[in-house]
Amino acid sequence: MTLVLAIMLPLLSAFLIPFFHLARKTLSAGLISIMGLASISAALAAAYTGWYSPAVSLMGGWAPDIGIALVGDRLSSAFLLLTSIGSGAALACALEKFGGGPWRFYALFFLLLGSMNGILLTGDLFNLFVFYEIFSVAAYLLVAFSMSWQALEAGLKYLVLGTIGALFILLGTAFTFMATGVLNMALLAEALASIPRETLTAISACLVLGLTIKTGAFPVHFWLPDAHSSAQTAVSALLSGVLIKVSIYALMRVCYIFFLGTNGTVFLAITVTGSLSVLGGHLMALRQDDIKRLLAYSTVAQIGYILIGIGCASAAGAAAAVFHTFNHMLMKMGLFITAGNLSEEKGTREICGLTGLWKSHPVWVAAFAVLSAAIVGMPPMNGFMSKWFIILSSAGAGTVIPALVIAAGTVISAAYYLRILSAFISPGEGSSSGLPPSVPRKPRRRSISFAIVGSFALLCLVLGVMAFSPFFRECFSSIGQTAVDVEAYVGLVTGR
Amino acid sequence: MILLSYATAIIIFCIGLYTIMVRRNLFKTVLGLALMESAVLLIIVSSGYIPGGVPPIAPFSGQAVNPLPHAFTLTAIVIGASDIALALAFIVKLHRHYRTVDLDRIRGLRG
Amino acid sequence: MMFDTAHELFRIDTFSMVMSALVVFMTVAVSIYSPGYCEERTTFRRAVFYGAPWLFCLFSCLGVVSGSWFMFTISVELSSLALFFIILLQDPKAARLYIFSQLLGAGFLLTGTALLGALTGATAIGPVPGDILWLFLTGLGFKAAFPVLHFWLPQVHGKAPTPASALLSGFAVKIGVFGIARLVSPDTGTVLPFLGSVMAIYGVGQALLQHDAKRLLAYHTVSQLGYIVTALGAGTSLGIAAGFFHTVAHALFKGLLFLSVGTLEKVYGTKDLDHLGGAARELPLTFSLFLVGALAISGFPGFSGYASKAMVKAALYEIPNPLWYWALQAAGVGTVISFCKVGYFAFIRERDPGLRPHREHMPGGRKDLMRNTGMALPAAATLTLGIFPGFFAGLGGLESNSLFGMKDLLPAAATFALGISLFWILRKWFGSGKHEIPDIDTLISKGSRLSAPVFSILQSMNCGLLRFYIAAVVAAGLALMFLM
Repeated sequence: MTLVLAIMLPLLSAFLIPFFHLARKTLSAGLISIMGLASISAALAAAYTGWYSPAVSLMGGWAPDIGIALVGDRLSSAFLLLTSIGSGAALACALEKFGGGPWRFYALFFLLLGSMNGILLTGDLFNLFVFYEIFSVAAYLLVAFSMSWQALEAGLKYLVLGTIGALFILLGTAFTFMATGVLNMALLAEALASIPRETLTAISACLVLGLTIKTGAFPVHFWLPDAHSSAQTAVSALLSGVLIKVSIYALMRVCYIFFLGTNGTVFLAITVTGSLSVLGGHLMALRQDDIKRLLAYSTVAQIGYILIGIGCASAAGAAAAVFHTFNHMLMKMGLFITAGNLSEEKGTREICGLTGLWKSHPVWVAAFAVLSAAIVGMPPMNGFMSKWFIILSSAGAGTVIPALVIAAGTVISAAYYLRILSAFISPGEGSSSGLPPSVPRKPRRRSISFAIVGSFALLCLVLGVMAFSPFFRECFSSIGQTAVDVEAYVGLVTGR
Repeated sequence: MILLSYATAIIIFCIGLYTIMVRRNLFKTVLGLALMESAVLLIIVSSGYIPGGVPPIAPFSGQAVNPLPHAFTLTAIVIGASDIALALAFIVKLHRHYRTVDLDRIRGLRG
Repeated sequence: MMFDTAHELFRIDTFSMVMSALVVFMTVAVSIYSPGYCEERTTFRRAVFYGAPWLFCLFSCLGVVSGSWFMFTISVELSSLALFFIILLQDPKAARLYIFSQLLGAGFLLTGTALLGALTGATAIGPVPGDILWLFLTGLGFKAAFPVLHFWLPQVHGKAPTPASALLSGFAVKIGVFGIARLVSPDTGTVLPFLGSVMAIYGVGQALLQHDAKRLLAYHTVSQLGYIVTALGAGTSLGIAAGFFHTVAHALFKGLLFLSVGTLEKVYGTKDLDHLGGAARELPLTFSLFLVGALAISGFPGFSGYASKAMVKAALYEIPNPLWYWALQAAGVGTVISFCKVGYFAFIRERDPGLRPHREHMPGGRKDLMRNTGMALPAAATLTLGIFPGFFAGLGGLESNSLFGMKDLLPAAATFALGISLFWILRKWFGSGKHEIPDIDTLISKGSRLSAPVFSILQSMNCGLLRFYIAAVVAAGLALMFLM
């Protein structure tokens, strides 16, 4: 029941918001926070249930082979926790900035939240596709919400490329259905072992291509820099922090359940894509002048790290990938919120224009410094620990090249984050000339955003230190083991 | 297994693919996407066909074709329609800024 | 459990204790020296200047007592970060070069450690299997200035603030050597002596051509590291002990030399040997402390450098190939010439009349007192170790008298005689303008121009054309189909 509630509550909120708007012109921020809290608690309750005793919920009581099953196991719980924290933070930032005014924004937001929970909890391939499309449509609209020409162009390109990805997923689903006649993921895991080789190749190519387009890996990442840089601050943070991770979850689920025993080259392809993303993302970020576009390319590179972890096709790799996913959400959301606020204060998004911020906003710059140290991978932050786990698991899979690529990526990312920090710290023209600013501006209080950024930075440090403790490693190891344990998943759903 | 349906679907898919890769008009790109979508849906529907089957509308006698693909296709048609509608809305708004629907001119975001 | 590989947390033996004592000693000396050097304005910058050496000391101690390669790598990265902050105060470009090279080295070490864990299941610090040895050597080579990987050293050591240079040349590179000492195994016996000899000769050769005093000292660091690496390459316990002795001795006298050049820099405002001169008369105490360091590095009997070089050569007698021994001897001659050059041009000959000493840095002032006290500590230690090398000789199984025997004194005397006479002959040539041979770091700026095509390809891929993006997607799909 909790699993269904996690999906239904946000969807209900999304549908109720237009009615509330009809009743009174502006919604109160309090109402939206209550709806947000309710949705997030439902998701957390589902996560809690799934963690301690994996749960299956068969919709309408139909058996798995003809109905839709909702499955909550440890992998889903981990990602549910991630999306709850991420969307809670983004909702708080959006509320602080806009208040309750833009009702369409919040309607889309809750639609997004509901469909994300749907993707994370579903056990049926076509149901995954449906929720994925709802999620994508809401994402396209949120990207284009500010209606500036950049946002519209980014939204259009995201839409076209995302729809192509969805088409390939649909094609893969179609082929799967034609080959096996079932669409339930657990039953497919058994059925896919006995279909002809060429069909399996076609299915895996279509599914992997479609899912990789949505995650923004290198050769197919082109929508990502535009979309993540043109959106508003809270939306960028949500996109880079949470939406990409849900796409990663979909990729992990599909690849581990369908292809772990049947088609090993899928994982080789994912490793290659991951390595290319690391190099391409970092090298492109080195050349950027726009801070949000730079952070978007940094996301492409970090997705590469996660893909390298997934490509190891082992429990260790899965655990390392999930850990890095979690860390990246914390780091990238903090970075985007800081960058968004600082560029609003300065009125520009160019790095060379963002000077003198150490004098005016020292705590923001300090938080940015901590978060960038974490994302570059300096010990003892969490970014270093998850990078180390990924290197360890790829060494365990027997390859050296991804680990060396990650080492090179560390140096390149240190280069561009240092560039941003040195721009922040340099004095800048306004303060050195000593003249009063021509237009006196009241400094905007962004205490909630700062509280979120500060707590994320602190969490980075804490998680990094905690990663040494056995209890913590036990948690992530169990997530990894659940991810690759196909028999357990099948047994859970079919009851065998 | 209707061979003609599958062949048609593949041809339509390739036409759609050609359109989105080659044509510069944004409307044609959207139409190409719709074509590709329709092709995939045609494949899905025809996969459920059983020779000599009757439509799966109760009451029926004899064997019915598989109704599951029909359900998928209906859902996917709805999804496709909303995607296309959104794309067209984007095109209209974008046209107000760029004054053109030529894809090679709509490249403000680059690098 | 999944990410655990078998290791103990700490591995503390004699060498770890020696290195920890060394780093604490050096940091104390540098901290006493710093008030005489530091000219930072704001409290924050002063806090970094005084506090970062102690952070470096803490992480280096953690590094030398660590029991697994993983802890070692983390401690080394953090110690580099501490030094990065001090160098940042004076020269951001050198600081960036430093941290990038160290991060790259740490990346190689992490990869090696991961493979070690995957191959053997244990990441305890110690010898590694032959096929992953190259990863460890490359990673440690960034730190210990192996031939091509030394590209960062001259620039960083030359441009850093002097206390940081003393710590860098004194200890930071030694951590790399410490790692190599832990790695020593029959596999390393072939490659290490070769690398060491190349480093020794190349370092001295470049040093002879330098006119920037700190860059010259930096190249000498490369050369002396060559001695240590060659000794480690002998593979015997005598070799390892000799390497450690020279490590300690070099840390002390190189730190001393850097600090004395720092005094010159502060008093006269320049490090350029073409303009300096006459300091022996004006700064007699500094000159005598410099002399202690110069005699030690050249290997004059009675100073620590002589005893440690004698022990290194004793270790090399056991290797059948005499090439390395003669390479080190040649490097020794070059060292004598080079320090005659520094001593003569910086202290003895007439100064460029345009240079005036700064009042507050002259002898008798508080700053000069702090500097000289800071320098006196390593000087005293150098003399003590030179006269009583028993502790280190004992580590290698030698009697301390055997280091003062004829077979060591004679080559030392010959080296000195040859070096001083060659210097006197070449004196005019040294003074006549700049003769520099470009080193690898100039290639880096050229290399960045070579990498421009890569960037322009990537940038043109993100062109904004939606049709191109779609074509890329289709191409990726086809590639995927072919791959599977």
